[in-house]
Amino acid sequence: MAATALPCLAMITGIGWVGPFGVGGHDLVADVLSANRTAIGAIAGFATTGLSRQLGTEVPDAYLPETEETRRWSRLSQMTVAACRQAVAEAGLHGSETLQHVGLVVGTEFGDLRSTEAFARGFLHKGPLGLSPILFPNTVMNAMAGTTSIALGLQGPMLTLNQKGIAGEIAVVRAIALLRAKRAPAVLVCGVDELFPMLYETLALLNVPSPRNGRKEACLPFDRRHNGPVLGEGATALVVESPAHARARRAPILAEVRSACWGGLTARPHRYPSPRHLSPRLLDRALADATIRPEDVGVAYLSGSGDPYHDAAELALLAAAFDLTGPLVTSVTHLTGEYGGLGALRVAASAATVTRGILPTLDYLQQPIRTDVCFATQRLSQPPAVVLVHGLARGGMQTALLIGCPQHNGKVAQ
Amino acid sequence: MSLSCGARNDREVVVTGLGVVSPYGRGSAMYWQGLSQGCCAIGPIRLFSTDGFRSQMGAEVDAETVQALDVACRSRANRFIVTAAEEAVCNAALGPEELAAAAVSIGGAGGGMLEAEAWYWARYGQQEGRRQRAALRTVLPTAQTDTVAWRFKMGGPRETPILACSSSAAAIAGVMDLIATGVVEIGLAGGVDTLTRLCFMGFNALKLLDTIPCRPFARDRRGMSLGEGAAVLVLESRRHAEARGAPVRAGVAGCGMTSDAFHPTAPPADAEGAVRAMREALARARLTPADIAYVNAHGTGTVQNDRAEAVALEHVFGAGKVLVSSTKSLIGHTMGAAGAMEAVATILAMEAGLLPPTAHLTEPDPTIPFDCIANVPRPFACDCAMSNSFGFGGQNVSLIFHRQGVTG
Repeated sequence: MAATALPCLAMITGIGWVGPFGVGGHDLVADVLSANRTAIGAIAGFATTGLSRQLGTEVPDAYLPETEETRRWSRLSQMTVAACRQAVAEAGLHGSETLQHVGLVVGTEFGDLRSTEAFARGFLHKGPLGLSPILFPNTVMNAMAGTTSIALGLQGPMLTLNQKGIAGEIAVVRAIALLRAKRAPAVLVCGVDELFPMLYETLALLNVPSPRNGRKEACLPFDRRHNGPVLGEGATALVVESPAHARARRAPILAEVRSACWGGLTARPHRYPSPRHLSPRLLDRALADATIRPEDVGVAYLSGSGDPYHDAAELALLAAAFDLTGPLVTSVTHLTGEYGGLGALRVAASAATVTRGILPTLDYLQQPIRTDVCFATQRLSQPPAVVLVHGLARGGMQTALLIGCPQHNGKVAQ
Repeated sequence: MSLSCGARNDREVVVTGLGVVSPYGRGSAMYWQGLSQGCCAIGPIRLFSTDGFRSQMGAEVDAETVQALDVACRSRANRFIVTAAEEAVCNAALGPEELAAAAVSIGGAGGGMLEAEAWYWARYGQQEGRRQRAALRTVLPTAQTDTVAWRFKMGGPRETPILACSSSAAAIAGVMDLIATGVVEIGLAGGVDTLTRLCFMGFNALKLLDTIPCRPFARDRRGMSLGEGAAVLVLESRRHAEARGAPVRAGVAGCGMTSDAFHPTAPPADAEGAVRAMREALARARLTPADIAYVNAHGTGTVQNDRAEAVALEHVFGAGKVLVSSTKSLIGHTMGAAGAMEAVATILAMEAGLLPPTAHLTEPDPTIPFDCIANVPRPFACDCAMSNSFGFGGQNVSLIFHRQGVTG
């Protein structure tokens, strides 16, 4: 591929991750992918007795910063701010003058339901006198973004996007749209969600997580034994910048976003698209717009959660867009569990894959649900030219991001 | 839809369809009838019990209207937004082909929380049933966006911005950007929120609700009144609208989006973030403050917010240099829907040459140096108008519309 001919929509210059393995930047992401170690285990933070589900991933409280300032924040805001601070530090975005123009997009599926429930419980226990005016602002999903903007002094455009399943990917795409509309030279993006007892219990009641159909509880995306997602939590932040801004300040470039597409497939609001509505249109468009050939896409991070309908629909889309030369399919879900904001971690992981050739292998795969798709079961011999990060959600929302290796003559982060 | 094709900046964006469900009833005609007559729709809340609370006021969509809305929708919020979207789509004469490629962005705050509360209350009382549990499917605000996309078979970009009280203003700004940068030709932008126990209890806990209908910009104002509703605007590139012979209602001249980075619920005294939002909207519209004749203010009726907004307006326009009114005094604060409902009010006011009043403004606050159109609608031909929305978390969005026939 020509080194300078490829379009670059945005540069990723910083990563921050608060997850079950700790708090860190792109090195932590690379280490976790490289070790291919899962954080899924029995939930320890709260009782799961009588729920028929025990598995999940959790961010230990020890990883969350505890200062005078953070003690007033909700746990979800603590995770968001910690991830964003890490990403900003890694991107070298220092000084209030710089940060005040930076935008912020937070993607979340459930928002701060923990505070919402605590607020409502106060009323049910004590009537109007039990209502906490401090908790109430957290019941609105933009509370994490508000807290982050105050903590970091961000005064640019600020958005919180609510989205099932692929809130992280949607946030990244919207951040790039803000750059394109020249609303900010750099945008901090964060995908975040948390697990807490009532949510876990309610999703179990609704039969959302594994196990389903009398099978064994496990996180097995794309394997015939899959029977629902295993729930997780975390926050991943990325700094995305316009190429001109990143170059001008000689920012460390972790990866480039070559294409960013989003659209909707026809689906009922709570369902995945049926086979007759699975069109590869969006993936074709993502490739065409970036003038990337399908064979140049070496790896695909999919959002497949272990939900059989989700996995099948997403692989069908991939198979329709790529022929036998299709990319190696991988995932981070088996390492971290599933949550709405996870897509931001998939984008962060793609940066490590495209620059360092690291990817998580799907060692658990025994019987893939499709034989015409190649799965990542072995390590890469060299970094792929381009990585696809694909998202598909209930309701039919779909995203496609093509991530490439930095090609400019600036400072390339290693 | 791809962001790579966004090379064409600054394409003119117009409004070709409007749809509303308001406390006045169904449809933009009823909405305008209520606003233009200065009818206050705020009264005692009947939707849920308000026993034990200091304030018991709100602007409710009456039960008869709600029952006549789409019964296939699971939640009140879904009924509102589908009805508003239907009117807007019909208004803009959009066909399946246009809708298939159109973007949709529906801002909100509470989503289907009203029904989820009923489930939670029942669960707490250990009387939870399957039917109540089914309501959880629409609890997330994204459910309203997905429902609109499903109902109208929309295949373009889809998003659900949550910016508290400026959610739907941000939805309009977001779709405007997608059209202006050439990502899509058409998009539905709007917002929806219903009255919920949670929101009512929260603002009561913050002591921000007035015990009588709210009185924005009045000397004796004591807080806001809650409301509910939905509004949807069809936004379109002018070129596309003209090519298909669509009725152009107004132009979207510009919008500004900023954050305060100051406090979770209060604006800074100098309203610096709001000033930047208004100035950004003006700059993007290539207009000067003198070009704006009317501002549909955020105007909640709380002591602090009205004062801060007045400070911001004075910074941007100069004391007394622009007409200001708050339609929240008529329909209450519709939370995530407010930005879109007030955008529609602004467009309808420009079309009619009649500015809606600020109700209950018997004694204006002398520290607010603006003519706030007290109590009686004001005939006034206005070419360009601004609509402000400011939300919790310090989220400021200013939108500027221009009358059809005025060059953008």
